[in-house]
Amino acid sequence: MSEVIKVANLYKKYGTVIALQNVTLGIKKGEIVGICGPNGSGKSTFLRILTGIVKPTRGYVEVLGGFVSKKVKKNIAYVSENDVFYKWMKIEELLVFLKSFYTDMDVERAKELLRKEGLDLDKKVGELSKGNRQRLKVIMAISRSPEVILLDEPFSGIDMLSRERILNLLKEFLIGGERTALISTHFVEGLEEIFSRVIFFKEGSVVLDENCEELREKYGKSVKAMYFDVFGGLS
Amino acid sequence: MKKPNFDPNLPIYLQIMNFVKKLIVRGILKPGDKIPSVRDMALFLGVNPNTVQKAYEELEREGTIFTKRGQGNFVNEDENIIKRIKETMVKELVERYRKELEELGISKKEIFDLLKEMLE
Amino acid sequence: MIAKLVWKDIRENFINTLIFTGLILAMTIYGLVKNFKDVRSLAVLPILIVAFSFIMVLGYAIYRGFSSLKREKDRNTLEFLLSLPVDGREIVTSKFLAFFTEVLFLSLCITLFSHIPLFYMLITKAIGKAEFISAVKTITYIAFNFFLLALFLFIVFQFYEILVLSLKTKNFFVNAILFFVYLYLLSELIAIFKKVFGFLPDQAPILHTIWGETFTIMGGTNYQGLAAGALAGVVLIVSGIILFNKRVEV
Repeated sequence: MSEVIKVANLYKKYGTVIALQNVTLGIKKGEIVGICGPNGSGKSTFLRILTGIVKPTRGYVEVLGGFVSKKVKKNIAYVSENDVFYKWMKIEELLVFLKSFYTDMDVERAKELLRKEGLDLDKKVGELSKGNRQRLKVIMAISRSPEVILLDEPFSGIDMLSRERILNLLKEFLIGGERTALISTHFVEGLEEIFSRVIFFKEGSVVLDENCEELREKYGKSVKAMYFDVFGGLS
Repeated sequence: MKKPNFDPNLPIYLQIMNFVKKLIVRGILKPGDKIPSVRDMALFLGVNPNTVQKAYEELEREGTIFTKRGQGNFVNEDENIIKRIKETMVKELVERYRKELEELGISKKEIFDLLKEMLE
Repeated sequence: MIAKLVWKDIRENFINTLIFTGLILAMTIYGLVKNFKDVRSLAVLPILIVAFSFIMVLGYAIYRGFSSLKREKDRNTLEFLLSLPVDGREIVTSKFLAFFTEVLFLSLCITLFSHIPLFYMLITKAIGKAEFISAVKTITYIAFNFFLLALFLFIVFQFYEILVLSLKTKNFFVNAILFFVYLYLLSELIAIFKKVFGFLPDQAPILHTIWGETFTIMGGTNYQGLAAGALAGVVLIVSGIILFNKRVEV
């Protein structure tokens, strides 16, 4: 199976802060990878480099067989941790806007999902609550058929109900398709069953990269338990 | 059929195998029945399809299910298989509780009498 | 999809454009109402309207040129843009085209509104047809030059903004020094371009006002200057695109 994402010796520095160092790994098609680590460990930076939003200081990055170019971006869906949509746009306008850039955007499906989730097409993005904005971001991503989907903390700062709903949306989307997914998250409950692999970041480096089932067989630990083991010690 | 809660500390594929076996033992899946595809099962259980794939492969290796090329996975038509699975499962469960009760210091005779009482 | 980006920008700045237009219209009406008795004052009015309005427009051009990308960055929408399948070429040129459209609209409005006093004077026979036409020519020509200047300023400041974003300098003083160095280098560049266009007539367009006075526009900008400015504008946009693609990130 070919590698959909390939990075080698990835190094990223912001001013004097080293965000990523020595990251070398490959991700195959269809893998659903959990990216875990404390804040500032480099997870976001890693995903952003794969999206093409951030450029590496040094190192090699290849997504879908090439550099993260305009053509490659058409097959990537990225759900940012930040509120990135234009707040003055109505949801319907946002749909039209996205459709003009992503030909794989299924507007009907998006409208249906939005309806199911109770999001009014006429509302402006800025008028939505945080939970709704998160759901909007996820729906916009899963209304497309990208080959690679990257999610950066899709559950952060939202209520439990929104979280459950997003979880269900994601599960259906990921399990159904043959897509490659990277999900950076602190919450692994309910999610770790769909991870095929998990990568832990600490202070910019990869400290663990394991197949989940092997983790369970070898150590008898869940991803969550492993997380506490690796990062648990309060220092 | 309710979706089981998986213990994330244990290999999921083993738990999926148990789930399928339970379905067989309970008669929800009969000998010769077609079992859900990897994808459908994964969707229902909310797990990674690869894990379901592995479970199915192991079940096939054990002889519990078999694959008909192009048609999917089916429960072994041999009725004895069910008997065997049932026996194994019951034995495992009983053994587990017998051990725990023993740890509490309860003698075999006490367990037997208690069981007799409870099941009457 | 440059068109989509341009339209998005226009919509985002729609309110501002409207406010501007409203202000200029208000100025025109106020001036007209206050001075409709005095011909001499009325004669000056069109020039005043054009001058004041365009000074505002120039200020707006500088603001837009400098802040269009920065605003996106502050609101996290730059991240959105960068994640879209678009390249720097589309982002930079769409911002310019959006501004171009707005400033074209504003310029047309300014030109139109400044003609109102002239029409009034024509109707009340305060001036004759020939004078009217010559005044119209003057006003239009001045407005056109201001329009070009606004575009140029936008490009100049947009490039500076891209420069700042690329270098990621946060220190105010460093950025200020950078700004002056940039302006100096730019002026040197334009001087070089002027020499390149040395084959153009070395004269400034001359204008006649309705009082029969003549003056040169924009402190003596001649055809060489205008051509040099245009070329500099193109160079800045192209350089801006290259720099954006190479170095701008969130």
